[in-house]
Amino acid sequence: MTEATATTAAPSHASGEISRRSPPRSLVVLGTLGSVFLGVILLVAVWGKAIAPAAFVGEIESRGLGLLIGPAGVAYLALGLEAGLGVLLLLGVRRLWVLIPTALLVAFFLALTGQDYLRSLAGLEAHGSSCGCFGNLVTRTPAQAFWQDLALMVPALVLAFFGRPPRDAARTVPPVRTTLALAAAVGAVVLAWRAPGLPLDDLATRLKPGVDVTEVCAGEGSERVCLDTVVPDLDRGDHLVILAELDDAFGESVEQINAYADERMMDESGRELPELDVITAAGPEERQAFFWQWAPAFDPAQAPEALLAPLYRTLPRSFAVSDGEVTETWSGLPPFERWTDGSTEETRSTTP
Amino acid sequence: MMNRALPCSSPGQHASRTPRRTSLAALALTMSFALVATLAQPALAQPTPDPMFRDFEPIGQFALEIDGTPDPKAEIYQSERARAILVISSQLDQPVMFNLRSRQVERVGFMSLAKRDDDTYDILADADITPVTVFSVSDTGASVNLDGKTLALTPRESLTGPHKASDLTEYDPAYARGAAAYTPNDQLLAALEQEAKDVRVQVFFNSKCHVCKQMVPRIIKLDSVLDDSVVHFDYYGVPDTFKDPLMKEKGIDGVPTGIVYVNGKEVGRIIGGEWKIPELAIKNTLLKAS
Repeated sequence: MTEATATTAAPSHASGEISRRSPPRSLVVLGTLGSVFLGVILLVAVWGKAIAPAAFVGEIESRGLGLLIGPAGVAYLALGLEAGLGVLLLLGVRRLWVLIPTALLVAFFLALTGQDYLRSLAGLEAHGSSCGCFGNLVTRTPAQAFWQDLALMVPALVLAFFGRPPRDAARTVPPVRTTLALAAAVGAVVLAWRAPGLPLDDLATRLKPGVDVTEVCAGEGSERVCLDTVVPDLDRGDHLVILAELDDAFGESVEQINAYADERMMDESGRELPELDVITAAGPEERQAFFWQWAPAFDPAQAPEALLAPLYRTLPRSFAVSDGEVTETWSGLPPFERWTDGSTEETRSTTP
Repeated sequence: MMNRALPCSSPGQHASRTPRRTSLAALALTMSFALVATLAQPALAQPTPDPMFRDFEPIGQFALEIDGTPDPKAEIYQSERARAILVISSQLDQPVMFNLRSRQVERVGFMSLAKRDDDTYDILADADITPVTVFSVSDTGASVNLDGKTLALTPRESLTGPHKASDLTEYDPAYARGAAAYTPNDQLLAALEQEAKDVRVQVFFNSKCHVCKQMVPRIIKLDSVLDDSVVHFDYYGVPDTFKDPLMKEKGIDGVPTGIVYVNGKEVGRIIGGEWKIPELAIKNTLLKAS
């Protein structure tokens, strides 16, 4: 980089830090690598969270970190900060005004994952879905999240700090790189803001065509649950699966789903309509109430939130499975008309 | 309900009173008639079920209360096709159906019901179904005032404590249906049947746990086919709160969990989705232990 730097404090020669001895060249190289590595980690994490902001906002909310600007405000602020710092580190800016906020950000993430880890050690449920700092793209246990974050970020940060050349100690602002960082910060916030409306489900979640349903799992030991545990025959035959929250909005669409279920049950043409499965994180009482209120022609299967959360950005979300492999995904309900002729009617009037 | 065929008169009696040729013809005619009648009988006797109100399967998740008193002998059936729950109780004049489509309670004439060999019911076509009144719904169930009585369908208490497989299938017939639908692997079965040591599998489950509902029927099926072997199963229902002294003592924090004992000593555990093929899970546990 040959860009000019704007001095924001006293002239550099007057700075006490500038006079410190240059670190060995090998440490400088390692410091650069650490900085770039940490920058990449932060940017990957920003991408994962920005394309599925609801999960991140939910995590902030579940921890009571809304403060004055609300969970969404905190989430957007954190995303912008993380993106800006990530770009600066990637571009080799290792001034103290970059490294100190980065250290605070790393400490913040470690505090979150550490809190979950301690709760898991105490046998308590982790906050949120234990997605760590990578949104829905990577799912980890609380222990994995804490130790991986610690192992990935802290050494890189230490190297970036101690391996910085003397000129990086100056409190200067490189204008071009700082502008790029600001653009990245704004871009991250805008992406997070607009992402829910963009067709990014396959990109933002672990559920996409080609995925083997037997590999979609969450938890460890006695808490390990996979999609084919919840729906045991999912690895065989054709299925239409709907991930849903059993709320009133989904209740309103039960009639449409029932029509498909009816057509499937009463079809005598010999064609094989895909089996219908609805999966929810709702507990027994909620499912019971839903049953009585909406009269579904299906029995929703219950799955832990930790299994479902990485599979959607908004609910309902649907997918088709053929012999255990996801073949297609949809935001919302499946296009039932593709399998039916839309002629399902009640064959018997039940009203007096 | 199947009608029994009317008994036929013996052809030998006719033969003794008529010429031989005529008697042979009569015998042939009688036998032909009997054959045709026998072949046609199922079709003639088979009642035609209503296309929608059919396939009522016995279920175990609801209990019937009449005026606040449980009626443990009430039979409760559900049809996903009909989206209705059929209740038969000696305390009711007629079976009643909670029709979830219309949200009405409807009386169903006894003669309108046809019980099948698999203990399921169909309501016959052109059945005598009389809508009575709208039922009210709460978060936990449904209730209705009928003939001065308050009928309520409420969630049933979970099965807790030690049990045998027959207790589970009696508690919830869905376990029996799930067991009947599962076919264990023959080779793995043969391997388990050849076990020389005494193997006991203690299965911890919860009646409302969805994964248990998927997996426990498979274990029950395995239990039944290994009945004559040295592999034995027993079941322990944990409460909905998951707070149970035996769970705590055994260090169990999730269900379904099976503890495998060989000659009384724990050799391994089978957890959650590992039960998908129970015979494989048990065989693998025994292999690891040997």
